[in-house]
This record gives sequence, C-alpha cells and structure tokens, in this order.
Amino acid sequence: MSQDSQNTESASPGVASIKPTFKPKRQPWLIPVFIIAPILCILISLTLGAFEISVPEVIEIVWCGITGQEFTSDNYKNPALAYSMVWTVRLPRVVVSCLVGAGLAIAGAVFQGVFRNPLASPYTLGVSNGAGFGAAIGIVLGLSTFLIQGSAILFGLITVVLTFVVASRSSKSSVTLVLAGMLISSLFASLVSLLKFVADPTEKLPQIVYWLMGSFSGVSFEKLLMILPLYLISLVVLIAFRWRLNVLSVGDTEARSFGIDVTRDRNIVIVSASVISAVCVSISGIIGWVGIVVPHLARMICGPDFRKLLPVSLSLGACYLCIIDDVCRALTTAEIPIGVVTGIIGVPLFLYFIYRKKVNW
Amino acid sequence: MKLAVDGVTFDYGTGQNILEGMSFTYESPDIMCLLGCNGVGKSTLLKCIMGELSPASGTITIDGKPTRQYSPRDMALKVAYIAQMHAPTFSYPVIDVVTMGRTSHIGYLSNPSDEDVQFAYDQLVYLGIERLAERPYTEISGGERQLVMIASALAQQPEAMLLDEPTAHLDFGNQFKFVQLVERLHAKGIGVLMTTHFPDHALLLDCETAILSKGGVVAQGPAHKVVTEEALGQIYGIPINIAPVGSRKVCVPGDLDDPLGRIEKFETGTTKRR
Repeated sequence: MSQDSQNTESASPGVASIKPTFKPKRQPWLIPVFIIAPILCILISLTLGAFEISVPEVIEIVWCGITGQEFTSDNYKNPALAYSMVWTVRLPRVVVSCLVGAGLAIAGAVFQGVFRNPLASPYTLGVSNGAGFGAAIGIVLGLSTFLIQGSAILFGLITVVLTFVVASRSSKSSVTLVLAGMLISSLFASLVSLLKFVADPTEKLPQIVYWLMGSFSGVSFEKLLMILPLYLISLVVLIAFRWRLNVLSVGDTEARSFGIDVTRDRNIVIVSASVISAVCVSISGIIGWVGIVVPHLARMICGPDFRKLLPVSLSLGACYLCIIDDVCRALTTAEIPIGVVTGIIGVPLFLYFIYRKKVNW
Repeated sequence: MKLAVDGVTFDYGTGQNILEGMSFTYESPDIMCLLGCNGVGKSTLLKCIMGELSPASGTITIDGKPTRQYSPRDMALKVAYIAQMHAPTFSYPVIDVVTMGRTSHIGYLSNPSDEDVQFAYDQLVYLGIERLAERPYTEISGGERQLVMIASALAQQPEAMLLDEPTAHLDFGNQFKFVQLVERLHAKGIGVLMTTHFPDHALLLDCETAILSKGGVVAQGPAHKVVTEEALGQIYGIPINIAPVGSRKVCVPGDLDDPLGRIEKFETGTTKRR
C-alpha cells in the first residue's frame, strides 16, 4: 500500500486547484500500419504465379473490375486473360485466405480472453472436428462441393449447440464449457475416423484426408458469398463487444461486480466466435495454429486491450495466412496443404517471439 | 442502501449446510464487520448476497427488493464486491482495470469516454496510487492490487462495498492503513461491509459488528458491546483477552501467562522447557 495515501486526502474533494489529468499513451502508428499491411499483402499476392502480372497492372485490373471498365494493356497479347487470371483465379483465393486468417485470429483472441487461457483456440469448443465430420459425411455421400461446405458449416454449428447443451446441465463456469467442448470434439473426431474407415480408399478417403489438412485451392466467389453473411454478423458482434470482452477477461467475479451479466455476455461472444470459426473451417478445411499464434503476436504488439487487440489480430491474421498461402502455391507446383504449412512456419515463429520477447500473460 | 439478510441457508450440494438461518441487517454508509471462524461461511454469505450463489432458503433484499430481481447493472450501482484474492491473467494497465468500474455507467455496447478514464484516474489520485496508472496490473504487489480493486470499486460509484477479508494478504502496516482507508470511505459516504479475521479492526473502527457461527448470527451490535472476551472465546475456541492499551482496546489470544502450555509440560516433566 502506498505511503503517500494520506497526503492526497486534503487535496482531493472540493478544492478547484490543479486537478491531475490523465494523458494515456497512444500508439498512433497502429492504425495506418495495420490498414496498409493487408492491402500490400493482397496486391503482392495477386502478382504471384506462373502468369506474370506486375503490381501496377494488378491495381489497374482490380480498379477496372470495380468500376466496370474494360482492361486494356499493350503488355499482353490477351489482356482479357490477365483480367480473368486476377479476378477469377487469384483474387477469390487471396481474399478468402485473408478472411479466414482474420476470422480465426479474432476467434482465437476472443476464446483466449473469455476462457483466460493461453491455449484456447477457435477449435476449443470442438468446431473443427464438427465441421470436419460435416465435410467428411458430405464427401462420403458424394455431395457437390457447395453442399460439402454447407454440411461443414451445419455440423460446426451443431457442435457448438451440443457443447452448450452438455455444459448447461452443470454449473455456469467456463471450465465446464471447455470440458464439454473437449467431449463433443472427441466424439466427432471418432466419428470422422469411423467415416475414414468406411470411406472408399481410392477416391473418397484421400479427399477427406486432404480436406482435413486444409487448402484454399478450390475457392471461388460463390463459396465466399455462402459464408459472408454469417461471417460479417459475427465479426460485427465481436467488435461491438470489445469493451465487454475486456471486462470479461479480467475474471467472472470481477466482471459480475462491475455490472456485467457474465453468463449471457460470455455466451454471446463464444457463439459469435464459434460461428466465425465454423464458417472459416467450412471454406478452408482445418487450419491450425493461426488462432493461437496470431493473437499472441498481436498481444505482444498492442497489449491485451480488445479495443486494439481485435483490429490488430484481424489485420495480422489476414497478412499471416495470405503470406502462408502464397508460400503454399508458389513454393512447389504440387501445392502443399496449408494446414501443414501453418504448423511448420507457425511453431518456429512462435518460439522465436517467445525467446525474443516474453509472451506476456 | 439497506441490506436485509433473513434466514439464509446454503449448502454446496453435499447435504451439509454451510450457512444456516443467517440473519442480519446492514445500512450504508455504515461500516460493518462480520467476524467468524474459518469455514463458518462468511465468503459464502457475501457470494449469496452478490447473487453468485443462490441460497437454498431465506431472503436477501436490498432496499426492500430481492437481490435476484436486480439486473447485474443495477446491482453494480448499489454495491461493489471485491473477492478475496484476484489472480489476473492479462497484463492490463492499472488505469484500464479501474476504468472497468465505469462499465455500469456507460451504454451497453459503448466504450468508456475520456471523462470515464479521467474519473478512474481521479480515484487513483484519491488513493494516492496514480503513479501506478500505466503499470501492468499483473506486475504490482498484492497490496497495490488491493488498492487498485478499491479504486475500480470507487469508479463504480456504489452506495456500499462488500469486501471479503480485505486485509488477508496485506502486511502488518498495510493492514492498519487499510482500516484507515475504510474510515475514509465511510467519511466519503460509501458504506463498507467486510468480513475479517481481526477483531481488533472491529474494535478500532468501533463499527457495527456481527458475530457468525454455524447456527447463524450470535450477536450483532456496536463492536465495543459485541466483541467481548466471552463471545470471541466461544467462536474461536481459545481464551481471548481484551485489554486497553493507551486509549484503545486490543485483543490478545491465548492464556496470558502460559499461552503455549510450556509451564505445565515442564512441571509434569514430560518435556523440557525450551
């Protein structure tokens, strides 16, 4: 306790003398840096590939597409090919990888915050295994890629509902919720194994395995549109709750004393974060590590305050996955599954940051 | 604010009642101490009042309205509750933690304004710990953390504070300073209802005191009447001596001549006197 607590007594109330004012430290560079970084990543990613297109041309093509003009250029024999290369092949993939990276990073930050646990991730409540099961069942039944994606979303959400139902039978603590998530998650993991076991080993099984490893190779704007409404709604809810997330992350008892309906608000943000994770997994397959590594990196940059942490995680997650996807498609012609690369790159990167600058809790 | 606890019984589902027929009343801005031995259910009682636990029977009302009918936000405007030990996970700067006390005063999805932050800072200034404003909450001492929680509670502008053994983790000097702080809060018009293991603190404040035992409240009244050698001896199960030192009264536990039972052992010859 402080020694000078008595000194301030006489000066505190009534006297209209010099009142000490608080000037918070700000990080004015945060906003411009974290807006520009993903834009740069997207532009550079659009130039990568066998068909060479330079950055100014990429900007021109994107601009033409937005304004509805026809793209003309002397550099190409066939400008229309360059145009469709950017708009139908590269842009959907780059945009989706950014959105998935941002979504998983934000969901991870939220889960770590509300569970006050550095190991929590977008998959803590079993969304990944649920969505994986949904996709696997779609593949086994021979559904179209759209329906496989729809089935993944559906089962991802069913997992969350099941987790809440199981947890609601017991106390209101967040530990119960994590435990319920683990149970439901293991159940679906077993069901996925069962499907793998019964799947046709020449055709269906590789497809399931490949889906579970995660990839952006088959994405299109149509697939993106399918997830966009749910994605945006959840994102808006999470960002709207940024201050309440701060209070929730301090502790249940404290949050309740500060006047927060802990159970209700926690459920709202957990459901939103789970929905975002489910739609991300449905389009990309299971991509680990982004949801754990990126929020930690973001916290190192801007601290635990969700008012800064959410935008920074969003931006960082988008850049991170966009770059990793570039590595996946540019490194070899065979195209390595992204879920594999995130781990191979994510773990050493994380270790480096732990050693360079302690991961603070 | 008028708090009435009437016949509250609570068990953790083990069939064994932690609280049994607990009844007392409290009115802010009074100071009130709850005394009782370990396991008598002091913390449980505060948790029941805050709605964190629901009593099996009995009623708890604030200003005549049952506490369970209060929304968390309305409750926060009546009482602030500070639990025994808070183990923080994230390294929020102290000023952010104190600003969280403003949550019940701002819109549901709004962020605190600059005025809210300044109000929070004023509370740190009031407690004389404004130098901690930018420090991470995880890296300050236990005593400082206690004061930061008090600052958050002040930022909340409640009518009363419920403190669960606020002096439990404080050093000897800080314990005393804390008692002085309680008096300052009272003078400011904020009530304090606290559980404590130090009858001395009740005597020092000479506040309303309730003595709790397994069967309910044994006695309630001003400390100088309620905190007696007999009453304390009964709840703690040891001899207690209350005697004046200067103009104050202090409690000394144990037999005055042979508190550790050495003389008797020496005389019977079973142990040598050390």
